[in-house]
Amino acid sequence: MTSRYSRCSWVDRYCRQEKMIPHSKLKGKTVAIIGLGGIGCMSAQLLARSGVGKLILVDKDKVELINLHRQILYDELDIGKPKVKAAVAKLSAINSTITIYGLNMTVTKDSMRRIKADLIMDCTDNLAARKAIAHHCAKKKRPWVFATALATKGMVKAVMPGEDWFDSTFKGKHGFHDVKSKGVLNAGCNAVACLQVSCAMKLLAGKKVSSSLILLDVWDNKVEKVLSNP
Amino acid sequence: MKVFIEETNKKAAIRFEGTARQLLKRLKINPATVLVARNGKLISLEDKLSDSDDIKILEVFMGG
Repeated sequence: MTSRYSRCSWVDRYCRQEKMIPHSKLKGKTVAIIGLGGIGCMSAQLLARSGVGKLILVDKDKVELINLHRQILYDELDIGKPKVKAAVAKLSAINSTITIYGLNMTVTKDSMRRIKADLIMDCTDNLAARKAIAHHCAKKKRPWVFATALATKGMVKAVMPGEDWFDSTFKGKHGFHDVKSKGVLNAGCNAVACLQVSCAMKLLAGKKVSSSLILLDVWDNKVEKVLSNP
Repeated sequence: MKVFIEETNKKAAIRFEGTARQLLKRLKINPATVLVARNGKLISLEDKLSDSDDIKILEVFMGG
């Protein structure tokens, strides 16, 4: 062990979170983070720092300059690199004690078969990918946490196995605004990620999680819940 | 009926009875782009509303 760790041991690394979530609840778990954009970068970083045993990172894109204002895992030297490659490198430097691997792939019902995880974080940016995640989690009876952001707003929901929520809620939805038309505030999408990770921590710890849809607006300082059971 | 439209951040008090879909038509809002919550719960567009309801019309978005 190098001298920079002389003030604490590897065991003490997670001591500040032990009262909320014992590390024993995280170290044996695998979490897949699907999408490494504004939400995914923060979610992946928080989960890595918390010591989740294994992270699977999924994205198909390369880092662009316009990502840097909100996608906190990347810097200027990463521009042009596959996001998965850049993210694995950054997170491995943050926490070398966990297993992190990346899948550079488009999310489809077929490609999701490659994901074997205890929990899935939906940090994607399109309806088709989210449908594929919902389908996969229903089939594999896995919980997942939906998270989305636009402008200054966000939505987060923990979806439990057996809960037919996504298809029944978003069936027929199309033509809505996206980041090109409305933009996205970095504080907003990162706040959404924090809420998403909070839900994830509770799920991993086996704690009760609200099934409500959480609505957030960082500009108006609003957080509210809407019941969302079909 | 109290109505809050998230996209414009506007509130209104209107007299209305009918389905959520009919309310959106009256407000000239595309139903494919919103979710409707009645009294704190998401509902389908075919659910009937009453004049005493508290309605929120929420934007759909999928950004990540």
